[in-house]
Amino acid sequence: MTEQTEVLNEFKALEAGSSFISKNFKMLQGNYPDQFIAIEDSNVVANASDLNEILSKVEEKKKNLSQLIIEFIPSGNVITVY
Amino acid sequence: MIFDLDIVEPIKPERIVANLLCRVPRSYGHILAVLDTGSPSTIISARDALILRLSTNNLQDSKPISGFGRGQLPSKHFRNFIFFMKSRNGEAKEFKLDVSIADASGLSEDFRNSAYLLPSIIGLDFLNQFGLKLYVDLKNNTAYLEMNEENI
Repeated sequence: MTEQTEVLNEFKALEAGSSFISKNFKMLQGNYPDQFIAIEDSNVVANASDLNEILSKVEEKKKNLSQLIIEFIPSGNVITVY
Repeated sequence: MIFDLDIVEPIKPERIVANLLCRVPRSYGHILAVLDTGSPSTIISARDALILRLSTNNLQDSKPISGFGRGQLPSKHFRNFIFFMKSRNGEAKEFKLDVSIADASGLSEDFRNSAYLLPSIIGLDFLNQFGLKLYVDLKNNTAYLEMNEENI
């Protein structure tokens, strides 16, 4: 498999997860306010209020970190600037 | 070459995000980086550094990162950080860029947990180095980066 093909395959998982977050942000905000979530394809496979805790949960479930998106979902009660 | 960006839209347009695939040796993985024209530099967050297992042990200190509030976050200088973006026509394009990596290792637990909330940021250095033009049309839910042929 060429690197180009390998990278494009990895992008499929990334785009599915990213699109899931964009389209379902309000639902995620309602279900997981101020929590970290781990997304695999279009599914939330773990959630936790602390980054190390979610990494432990992902490890326990034997998930491949490079195939996941781990994001923090702010509650929306504050204006977040970067 | 055009790279589409995601607009995360909970209630109103909130942030514009680039999908990056990190390919630093031994640190493959995904990064959702916020495109921030207020930041001169591209910054890999402490959270993504931890998730990607990026080692900062042998890196030189970089300028501390500051934003709102009085605190500063230490950072390390990472030369030739490698990542890919996927273009609208389905091609994976490799980029190499010097970046700052937020370093939360020396912080107290409270400050470290706060640092983990911050995302990675694509700054103006990325647009400048690769001659990228940024287009944003929130009304039509469109955002993308365009690279001229001479920069490909």
